[in-house]
Amino acid sequence: MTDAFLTLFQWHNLLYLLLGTSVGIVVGGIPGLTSTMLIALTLPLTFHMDPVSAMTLLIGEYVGGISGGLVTAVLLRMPGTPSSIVTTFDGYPMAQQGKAERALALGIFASVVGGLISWALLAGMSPSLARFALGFGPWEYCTLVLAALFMLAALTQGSLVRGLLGAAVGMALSLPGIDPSIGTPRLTFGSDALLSGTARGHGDRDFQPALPMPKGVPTLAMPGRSSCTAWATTNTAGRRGTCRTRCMSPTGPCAWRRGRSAAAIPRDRGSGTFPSPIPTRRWRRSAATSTATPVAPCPSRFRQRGRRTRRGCCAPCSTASPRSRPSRWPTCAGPITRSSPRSTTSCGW
Amino acid sequence: MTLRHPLVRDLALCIAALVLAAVLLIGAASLPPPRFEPIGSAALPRAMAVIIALLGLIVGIGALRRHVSGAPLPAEDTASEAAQGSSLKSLGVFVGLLIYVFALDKLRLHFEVATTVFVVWSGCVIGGFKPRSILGYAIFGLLLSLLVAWVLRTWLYIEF
Repeated sequence: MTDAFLTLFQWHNLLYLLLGTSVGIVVGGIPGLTSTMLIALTLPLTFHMDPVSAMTLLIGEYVGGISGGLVTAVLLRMPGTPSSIVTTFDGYPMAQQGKAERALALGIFASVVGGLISWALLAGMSPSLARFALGFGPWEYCTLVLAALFMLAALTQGSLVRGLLGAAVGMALSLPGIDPSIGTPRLTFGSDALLSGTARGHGDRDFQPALPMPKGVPTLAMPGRSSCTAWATTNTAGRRGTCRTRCMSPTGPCAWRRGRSAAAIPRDRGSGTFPSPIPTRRWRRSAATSTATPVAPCPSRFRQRGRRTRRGCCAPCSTASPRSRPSRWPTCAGPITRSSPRSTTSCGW
Repeated sequence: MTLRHPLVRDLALCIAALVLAAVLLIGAASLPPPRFEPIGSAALPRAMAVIIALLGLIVGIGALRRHVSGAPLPAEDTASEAAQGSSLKSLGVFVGLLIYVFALDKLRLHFEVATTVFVVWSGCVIGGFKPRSILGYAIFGLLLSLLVAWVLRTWLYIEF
């Protein structure tokens, strides 16, 4: 163990570790790109490297790639890796409250702690875990699927039938591709893009043409929140004159970069409008809670010069007076309530 | 009546499920029949199509019946107590799962016995411990385990 640490802490190995972790975080932060793909791309470069350095680089890429998924999970509510899904539950609300930096820092810190714990468990329990895993066979896997259905029933808070229907649709979406038993195309309908399935995540086939769809659809269903909220939350307070806000949703303020607004408006409206009529429990719940209950106020950085702002309808940061504000900027025409989700008309658009 | 209306929403879900089931059946029709393997490549898509169509019909018919009878909509558990209860249920099922896998993998308990006990435990954790429910879950678990064992042994030639 001591020799291993001494070898690892040589300067060139530390350099490879830093390089691999940095690249891994960047790649892991990009939805659709995974650490597996990064390792596959880097692998040919390691053929002529020292084995310890090569392994250090690859391990750094893997760990960084897994941890990097939290960046988009916090900022965009789009987990870069499946392991970052839970990060969206806490990280994204923190980002909405203007605590994106703290959320990112906490996420990185949690990754470090989790990595150390998992390393300790792996180093200490690998033999027993391997013996346990080798005992798994078709019966055990079948029981796990059975148990997954029961877990689904336990976790589904609404209709159980809808939960089972969702699970069945998910299983149906995993069917297209090459049939593993006989090797023939199955449910591809002649499309080459479906030959490798719909985002199955099999090693180097991890990057699928259809992979962005399940990651993007939830974002598309929330008009105008994904692209602009991330920018708004990563820019700290005090940068006046660099942001403008608009009212798009009752759940949070929305801003976009100056100069990109012209492109952002049709893009967000267009991408969000078509899927947005699909009702979700969140919208139903928000519509059912009250008819005139004002929601929480905007973060302080969006309140400017005494303008009455409410969450979901924020004044432009840089506007000193309505006189200097272009006519196409939002103006509050009244309190935004939960009963009017995505009500852009009340904000003067 | 907009898309947010529960009836329209459920009917749209039902139609979408039926369309997906039809697509699966059409795609499965072009798959080759089984030659050496016990179950052909089309068996799974067809089974999924039937399941999806059945679940979609349940949703659609249930919505129509509620609309005709004027029954109130099922309440959505938005309260924190419900969420907390759901977490406890999930934890209970998860603990049961760990014991279930351990009993199968290490203790080599009979599949039918372990599955029946697991189904009873999970059902009671989710739905409540009532004598009638326990009997129902036991019968369901026994039938389910026998069915799974029959498929694995007879069709897939896998012995426990």
